[in-house]
Amino acid sequence: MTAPSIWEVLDRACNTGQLTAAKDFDMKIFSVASRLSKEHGIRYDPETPVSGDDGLADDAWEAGFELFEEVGSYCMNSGRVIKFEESEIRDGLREVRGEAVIGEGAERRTLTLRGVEDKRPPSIVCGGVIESDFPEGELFVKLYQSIAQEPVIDGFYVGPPLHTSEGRLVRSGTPLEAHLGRSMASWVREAVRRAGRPDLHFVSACPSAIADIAGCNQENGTRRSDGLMISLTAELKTDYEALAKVAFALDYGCIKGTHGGAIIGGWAGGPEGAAIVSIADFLAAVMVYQHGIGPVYGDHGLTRCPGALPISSINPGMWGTELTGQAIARNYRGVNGRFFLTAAGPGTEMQFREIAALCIAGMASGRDLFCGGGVRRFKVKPMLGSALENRFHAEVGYAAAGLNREDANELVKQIVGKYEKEITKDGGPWGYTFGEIYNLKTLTPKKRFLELYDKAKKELENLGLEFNH
Amino acid sequence: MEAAVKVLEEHVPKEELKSTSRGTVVIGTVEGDIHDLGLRIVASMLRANGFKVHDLGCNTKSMDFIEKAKEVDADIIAVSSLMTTTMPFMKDLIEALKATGIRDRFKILLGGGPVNERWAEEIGADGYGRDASEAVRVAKELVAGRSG
Repeated sequence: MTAPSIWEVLDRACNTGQLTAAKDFDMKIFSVASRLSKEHGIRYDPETPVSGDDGLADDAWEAGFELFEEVGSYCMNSGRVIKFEESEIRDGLREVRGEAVIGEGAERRTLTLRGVEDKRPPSIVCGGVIESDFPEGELFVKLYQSIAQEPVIDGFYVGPPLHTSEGRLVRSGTPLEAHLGRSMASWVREAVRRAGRPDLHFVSACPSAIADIAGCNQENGTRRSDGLMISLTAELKTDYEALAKVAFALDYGCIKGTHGGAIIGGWAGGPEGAAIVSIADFLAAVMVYQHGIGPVYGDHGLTRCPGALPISSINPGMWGTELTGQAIARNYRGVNGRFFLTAAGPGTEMQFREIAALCIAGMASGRDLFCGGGVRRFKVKPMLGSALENRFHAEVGYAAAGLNREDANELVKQIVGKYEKEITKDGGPWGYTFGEIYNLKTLTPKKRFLELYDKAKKELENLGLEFNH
Repeated sequence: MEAAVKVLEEHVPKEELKSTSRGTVVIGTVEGDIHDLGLRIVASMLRANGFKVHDLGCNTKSMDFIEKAKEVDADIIAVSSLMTTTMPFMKDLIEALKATGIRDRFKILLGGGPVNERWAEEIGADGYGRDASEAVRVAKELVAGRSG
């Protein structure tokens, strides 16, 4: 038996799936997640950001599997539910390859599955700066050049699109966004050429298909050894933009980077329900986004806290994210990373601490390192982000490899205790811009921020973490 | 729906949930944006607080907001965006209201991940809610301002 092909999946999404109102689909998720979290005995433990309970992880996996089988995924354009039989889901999981190859030449990397408490180093360190508002052109090139200059970085995430193109505000799905998608991919290629790493991998993360597809070009854009980021929308939803990217990635032959997770306090319910829905959401990516066909890596199970800040560097978001990470690592044969969304901005003691806690928790839970410079700070100040936090994320990730969950849990609790009370409705300290942290002529960090970096490392060493990279 | 609101209530200060104001709200996510979770939470919270809510869902065009608001004689048009590339459609909505000469007929309330107070001021909106409970509070203030 084989899992349904992309054409069968598209049929279910566009033509044959049961027509359902979005609000009815949402309510079904709520009621099924509530029932399954009780039936499987899933209980949130606020004192344990990194669970060490294999039985709990496997129970959560089973509950997530049952939820996905019962509820399916929802196509927002057609209003149709995409459902799969149990045997189809098991076939889909069996077809997943244990590895994915990214990059070319000297930058070629083979990504492999990391297990829970795996002693091996991360198989990918994917950097990037998420959702900061950079101007088009030279400064954007310099940002990614500075990240590519970090030898420990194996690739990076590029997205979402910049705010402007040709000096004009960019609107999603418009011709200008297509032009911007093409421009951004060529600027990233220029950045890696300048860094002396022309074959370095990146994943393009424009929300609309037209922008991502416009950037695909073997010579000077998104290559087949690069990737397209394809997201599920909370909860368990897809749309024609994402499905177009899947169909295109399969035709073009590039890597699919898939992303998803659940939100605590929404239709998933509390932390327990959100953990279960995160696992179902991951299974939706496996089946709808075709994990068994072509190269793929994922970033799934991000269980986010309620409110305006979608961070997971504190409980209950961290508990849910690590539980789902363990459930996926124990029951799936592919590569799964972790987004690093922090409350504090770059160049601050608090952000270094948040990155450390997220790295340590994620590595012990079987995840790889995905997008370590992540920060959602465009709300307060443009151009927030630099390569320095990417370097920190990589170094902590290597140091954390091999930690068992009990030790990781204790370390994380100590680190979180240093910043938890600093998190406000607005996040934390805004942080500093690329130009404030880096000398833009030499593309090196300024002394003040290097000292802060060393201080943050020293603090972790004093807590018992051994840096080895 | 009531069950979901019950869960939401556990995460929101009780004083935010007392029904003190009523009004009519047309709510939706802007054109090109399919993120509807926050929108539906805010819609539920507004209903729980006594507002009459017309939820247009995600990917709603400016003229659809305006037509519905006119049809139901709304007090507030509440608009969300989860992407930086869909935020400009909020500006387009306000421009369309101005162009049709009915800007003053409705209060505009904004929300969503990348949106902030500065953006709301910049494009001439009347209010901004950083989360669901704040959106309810601001909606109450906007309605009180209209009747006061």
